[in-house]
Amino acid sequence: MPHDHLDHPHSLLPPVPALRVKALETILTNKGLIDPAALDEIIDTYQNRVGPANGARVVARAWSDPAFKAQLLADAGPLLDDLGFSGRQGEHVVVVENTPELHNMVVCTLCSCYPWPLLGLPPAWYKSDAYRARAVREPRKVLADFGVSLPQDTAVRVWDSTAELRYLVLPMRPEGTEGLSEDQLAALVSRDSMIGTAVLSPPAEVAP
Amino acid sequence: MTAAETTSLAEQAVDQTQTDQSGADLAARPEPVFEQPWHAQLFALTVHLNESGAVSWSDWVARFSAQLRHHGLAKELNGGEDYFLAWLETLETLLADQGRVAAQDAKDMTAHWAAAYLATPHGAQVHLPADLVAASAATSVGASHEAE
Repeated sequence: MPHDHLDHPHSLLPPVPALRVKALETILTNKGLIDPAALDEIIDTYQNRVGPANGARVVARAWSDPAFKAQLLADAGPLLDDLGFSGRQGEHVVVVENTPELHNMVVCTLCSCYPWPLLGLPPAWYKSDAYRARAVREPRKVLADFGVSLPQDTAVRVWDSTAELRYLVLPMRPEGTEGLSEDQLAALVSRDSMIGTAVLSPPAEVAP
Repeated sequence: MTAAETTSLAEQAVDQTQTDQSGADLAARPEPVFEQPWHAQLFALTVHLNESGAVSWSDWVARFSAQLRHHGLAKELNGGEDYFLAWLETLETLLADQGRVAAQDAKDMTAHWAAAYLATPHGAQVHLPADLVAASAATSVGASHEAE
């Protein structure tokens, strides 16, 4: 089609998939099936309000409060409801604890199920065929790709998420963090440590 | 799994590690959640349809998983643009199967949007012709495209 790039007489055409999304949105709006304002609210939530900081708060509380931790591992649902971290899709969250004997790691081999309210939306690598295929088959090699090498006698358990069931890894509390507040502890907790593709190091200031 | 793909997974992991070391603020917002505005629109559209009861999440996951498997046969998916293309195909098919949005209607409306962009002077807000937009929806549709 004729297209003068020098002075852009018309608006730049978005990529075709973007136009296809607009088309669905227009038709569904015309039929009264969706509210465009609700779409903006959902995007704002996942772009700005929900992220790994939520999961980090839960982890820091579990490290600081043994009763909270026991309840979290036994049945996380009610605690997460209280904190406002319930799943919008009605899924259940199971929290699995890392110990010196057992390292947990989470994948969704089917697609990309993930505990959104606790971690936000998954990174691209979590959705990639490479991670989804290899996490179950060769978890130690995948961990090595992430720079994680576990002691040989630490077992690795891989949890496969579903539409109904999502997992959060409770990482081991780093040494040298005694006396830190919950907020200080939460700042140490990375997203990947809660997926199980990272282990936490002692904070730099107190590391030997 | 080729060596190149392994490297790419590892590089992404390293990037993330570097981001995570920057402290609590960045841990909360470690990277752009959506690479493209349409990824965000599509995601939100699907979540909204689920929350309004039009789409059950287990049905969505079953269909999307099958679509990803189908796409993954042709090439290894990287979890980015191709992931959302599979998502888009899944939603289009689901809405067509439900009788909510016929495939031809979606195609026609896509062409209308392309025409509207080409007919709108650069910098001006893009609108569909009024006869394509339901009267009750006109205001909110316009508002949702202001950001672009």
